[in-house]
Amino acid sequence: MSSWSDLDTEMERLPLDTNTADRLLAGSIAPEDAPPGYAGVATLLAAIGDSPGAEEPAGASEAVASLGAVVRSSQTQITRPSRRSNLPRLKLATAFVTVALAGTTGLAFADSLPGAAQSVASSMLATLGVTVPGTNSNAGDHPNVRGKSSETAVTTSDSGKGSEISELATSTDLTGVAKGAAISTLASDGKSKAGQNGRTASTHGAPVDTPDGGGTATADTASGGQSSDGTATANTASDGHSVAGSDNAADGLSHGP
Amino acid sequence: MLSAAQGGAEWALSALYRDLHPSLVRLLLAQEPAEGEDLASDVWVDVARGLGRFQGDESAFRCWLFTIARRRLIDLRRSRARRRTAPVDHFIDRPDSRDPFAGVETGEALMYLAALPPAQAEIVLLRVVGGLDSYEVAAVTGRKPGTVRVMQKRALERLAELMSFDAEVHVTR
Repeated sequence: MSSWSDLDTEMERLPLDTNTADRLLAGSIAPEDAPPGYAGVATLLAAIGDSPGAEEPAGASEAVASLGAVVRSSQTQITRPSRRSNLPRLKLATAFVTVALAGTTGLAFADSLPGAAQSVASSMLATLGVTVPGTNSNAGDHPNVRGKSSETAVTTSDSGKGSEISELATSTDLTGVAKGAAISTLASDGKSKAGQNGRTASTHGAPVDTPDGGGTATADTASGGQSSDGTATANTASDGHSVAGSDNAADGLSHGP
Repeated sequence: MLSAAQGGAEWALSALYRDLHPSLVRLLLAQEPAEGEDLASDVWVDVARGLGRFQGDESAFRCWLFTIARRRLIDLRRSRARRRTAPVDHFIDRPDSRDPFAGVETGEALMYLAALPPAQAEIVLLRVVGGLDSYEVAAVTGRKPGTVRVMQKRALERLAELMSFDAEVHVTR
């Protein structure tokens, strides 16, 4: 007796289209309804897809408990990074503020802050019950109270000085170093020393006489006659050619202007 | 159920595990008989670690699970650099060779699959064991749905050829 599978092998196998293949794999075609030549394949696929049923997978309870622990720990790890990323910044900011407060307080105790800053530190620390000196002698020209934008700008005696300097510069009869010294003195309220060390052209001393034609004689004298010896030696060695150029120059044959 | 599982509720995790673990193990055992159980455990650990970030419905979860399984399998094969086992010759000498299809068991059927090109066998397993449709298989394997449909058609044609050959061998004996 032939089984159905024998019949299946005896039948000519028809080409399989993609839709039928899809339905076979989906299990929606029973072996007896499969195309010729594919009943065995349908049986095979049913065997492969045969589920063990509702039986409990071995060790399922332990596995699920472990999975639950991993899921919960993973959730913790997911939320941690944002905290981690902020913590160093927070620590850094706290350390900076602490150092700044300690430093400022220390300087305030030492009465070393500039005038207004010392005043501010004194008043702020006073609210905390800490007594530090007020405005101190180190303030110098610093104002000993904090300024406000609404207050009038500080006036100085320098107002209008620019036009005064400009007028001097354009109207004075002075020239050269004397003019610069006058302007500088006005601009610096007499603090500038400009021009005091300078001298005019007439005060630089008499010009030095330089004997234009005496250079050779001066050199001859200074070298004890040896510079002339050199000229004579060169003249002798060159059969008079070494002075030829000089003669040419004297004769107006020089190429110079 | 998925949202409960993402919150770590054991009843939801248990339901997912009982629903999908048998298919997962069968799928992995079919491709790596010696390592299937261990691979399945690794896959579940990966799922548990990434469950908090998972977004999608239960169909997407099934795809995700089998995608992780596939990657685990690929990693294992790369690390071992060896090919799969179970050549088709084992079938010819199976105990009951009088009727190639009578009483065919799952293990034997999987051996037929082993004779297929690995990509085709994988698609058949994802379809039949994993319960995925061709679009989901395409998503898991990173292929186009049309490509998957052609590959699965060729896989069935090849299976029919192998079984026909096996039946002829039986008849001539």
